[in-house]
Amino acid sequence: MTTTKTLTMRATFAGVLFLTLPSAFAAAQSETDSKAAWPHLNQPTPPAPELRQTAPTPRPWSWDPSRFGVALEIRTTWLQDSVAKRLTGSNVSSGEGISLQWDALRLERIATVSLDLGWLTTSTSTNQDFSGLVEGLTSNMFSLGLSVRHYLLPWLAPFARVAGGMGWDRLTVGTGTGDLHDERVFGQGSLGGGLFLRSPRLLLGATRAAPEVGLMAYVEGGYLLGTSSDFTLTSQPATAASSPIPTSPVAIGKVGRDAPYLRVSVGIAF
Amino acid sequence: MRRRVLLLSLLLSPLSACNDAIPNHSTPNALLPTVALADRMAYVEQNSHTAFLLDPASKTLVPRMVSVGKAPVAAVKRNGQNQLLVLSQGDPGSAQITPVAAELEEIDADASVAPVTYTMASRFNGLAQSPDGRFVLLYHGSSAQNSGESPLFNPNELAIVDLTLPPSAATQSTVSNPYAKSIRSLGGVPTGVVFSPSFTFASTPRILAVILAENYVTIVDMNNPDRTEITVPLSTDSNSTLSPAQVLFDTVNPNIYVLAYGSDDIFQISLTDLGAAAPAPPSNDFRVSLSILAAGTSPSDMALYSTGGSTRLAVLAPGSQTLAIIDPSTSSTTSIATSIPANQMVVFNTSSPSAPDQSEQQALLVDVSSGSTSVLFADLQSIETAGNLALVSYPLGASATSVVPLLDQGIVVLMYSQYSANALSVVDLAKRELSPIGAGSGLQGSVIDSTAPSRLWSIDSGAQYGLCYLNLVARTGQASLSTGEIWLDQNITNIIPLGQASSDGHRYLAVEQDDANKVGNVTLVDADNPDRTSARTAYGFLLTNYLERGQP
Repeated sequence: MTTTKTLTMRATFAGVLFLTLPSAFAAAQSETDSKAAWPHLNQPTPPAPELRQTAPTPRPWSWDPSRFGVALEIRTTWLQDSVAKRLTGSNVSSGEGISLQWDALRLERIATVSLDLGWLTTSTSTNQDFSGLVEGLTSNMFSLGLSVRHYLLPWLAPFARVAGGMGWDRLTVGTGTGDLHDERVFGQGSLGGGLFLRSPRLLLGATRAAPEVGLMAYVEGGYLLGTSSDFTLTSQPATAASSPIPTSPVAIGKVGRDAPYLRVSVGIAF
Repeated sequence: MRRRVLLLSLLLSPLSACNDAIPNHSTPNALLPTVALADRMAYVEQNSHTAFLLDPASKTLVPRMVSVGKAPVAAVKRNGQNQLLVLSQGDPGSAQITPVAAELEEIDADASVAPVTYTMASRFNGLAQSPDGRFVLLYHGSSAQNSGESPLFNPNELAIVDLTLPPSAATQSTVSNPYAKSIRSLGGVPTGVVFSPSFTFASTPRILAVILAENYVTIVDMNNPDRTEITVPLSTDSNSTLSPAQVLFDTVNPNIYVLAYGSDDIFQISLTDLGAAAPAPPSNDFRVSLSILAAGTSPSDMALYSTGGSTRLAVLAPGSQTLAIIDPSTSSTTSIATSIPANQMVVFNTSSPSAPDQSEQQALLVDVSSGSTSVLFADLQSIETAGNLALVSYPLGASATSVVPLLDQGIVVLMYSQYSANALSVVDLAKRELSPIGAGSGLQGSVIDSTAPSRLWSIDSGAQYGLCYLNLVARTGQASLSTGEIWLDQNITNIIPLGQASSDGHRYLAVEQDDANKVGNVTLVDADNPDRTSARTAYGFLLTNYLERGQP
């Protein structure tokens, strides 16, 4: 429960930061820049100020779109399955991960089609103070996502995303050498939508050849569908015997993972 | 600004969701002692109030789970049946919790037989059953209040259950089943219950329950539970404390004999069949009268035997080092001095060394508390005339601490202290031979498998993975007193032999092993042909369907 709260607060902090950051940048940015980069806004352009400098210097930032991104993410799911709730010890489960993003296609800088490859890990453990029996569930999941963004503002774009992938669960019951465990592979998919936020790209040098880096963030809500994991626990005692006495597996039950989710990502675009 | 507020609300929403109440499943398993049914084991878990019946013949070793009453406190095998009896106390409830009645659950090993539940009015914690398994008497085993019990209870209240009848309410002609009964108290509370074999009164068979209490016993007619109980005071001296410890029944000459610690006498309760002169119910159709038989100082054990068509009561009195032979019909006593303060006696019928062709009543007298290193054989047939000439002493390798008679196989096992190099002696009653058995590092957790041909099983205290055995009698291909050992993979903690073969034709030995997580850990070994290669382990079987089980 504490872990969940901590992660969620982290996500909240990151989200608030990225809600305020792009708008601050936008206010500081000249209107000229916005109009030049986003012609679809179709607003009258005031006359350009006279340049007094003898040699042109690159702007320290721009709203030009980035092609790649790397993001850290936190995903919170509102568990529907009673067994999953029981294993998590909460109605809510949070996981952390990392994703790589590639803007595969841009349509006049209005809409962007992106592909992302992500890894997410979720680890829960119920260990009450009075309990000698620890139940731990660790999930690792790889997913490939396809999203379409539509820019309303240079720093704000709603998007829709569909993703799918595979993962594996490891369930452990008990502690020490006597613990029982099982691993299961599962498939999952998700459909969601949300808001994409970004900052201007910052020029990391004095010349135009210098790399430009921007910050980006996603807030995505949706629904996750996944195959359930039917766990059968096994344990093999530590023994020096060449042929240990066979131990019967124990069918412990099925864990479902269908759930609505909220995903918050924070990353760097370049 | 409004957009920020909206997004902030979305991000904070998981925090509020964390406060939802989640049922707690993590209470560690609390198991009652394992019950050995005829061909399978039964484990009763108290938190989930579930009985797990594990059939060793099952290929998957998946236990059958049966829900039992809330707060189970006792689980036993029903005598004479392959059934489990579970007594639960229920829940007295609270302002938020609906009360749950106490129950007695009868669970058959055969899954096709539906469990039978008897609901109790009181939350008992003591259970006694008749030798034939027909009657169960529930009582408050202690006057101390348990938190799970009702705030008010009568410690002398009983419930009598006839397991051959279904649960039923009282009618004009029958009593309810279970039948609640409060017995008369002379200031004490029940400390134990002993059932009689079948007596005959008014031409009908009767099972009597003798309920023990400090300074008195109470006799209840189990076949007619609505009849008045009979209270028999053992002492009129308010300063003395007599604790009834042993009860014997003589069904031929209807008598009950009570040995009580704190008294030098044996209490003889004679039962007289009133026949046609019996008063109307609820009075009883038999009458009792009390006699006191002198038996030496601090009697500790007694036995009934017949000789020449009459019954004798043999009483060991270690305080005076005597064996008293009492003729109950005349109360005459013959007292024979013994060379050791024997306090335990095994009466058996076999040929004597002096008359190999003639079967005679004999007794083995053992001291299991004062450290004597010899035992006595007593020829009960001639002891009243021959005196202590009928006693023959045999030396032991060490002082015995317990006696295990296996009379159907003609032997008695004398166990020695766990720390003695001599682990035990096997006494051949017919030959009067005592065979000492050594143990390199002492016996640990030893269990005698009484199913013939008997074996003694023990944990190898030098290497906890070792399961060693001693053939107490000869069996096919193996001589008497031969030994063997097999090695398991984990530390052994308990050994439970099953009495009957399972459905696969094998009789099993359940070897419980270290189970820190209390999830069930047992290795099943063929009890007749112990072999590591055929052993199987069921570990974690108490977690079967654990995630999807209903809420406790």
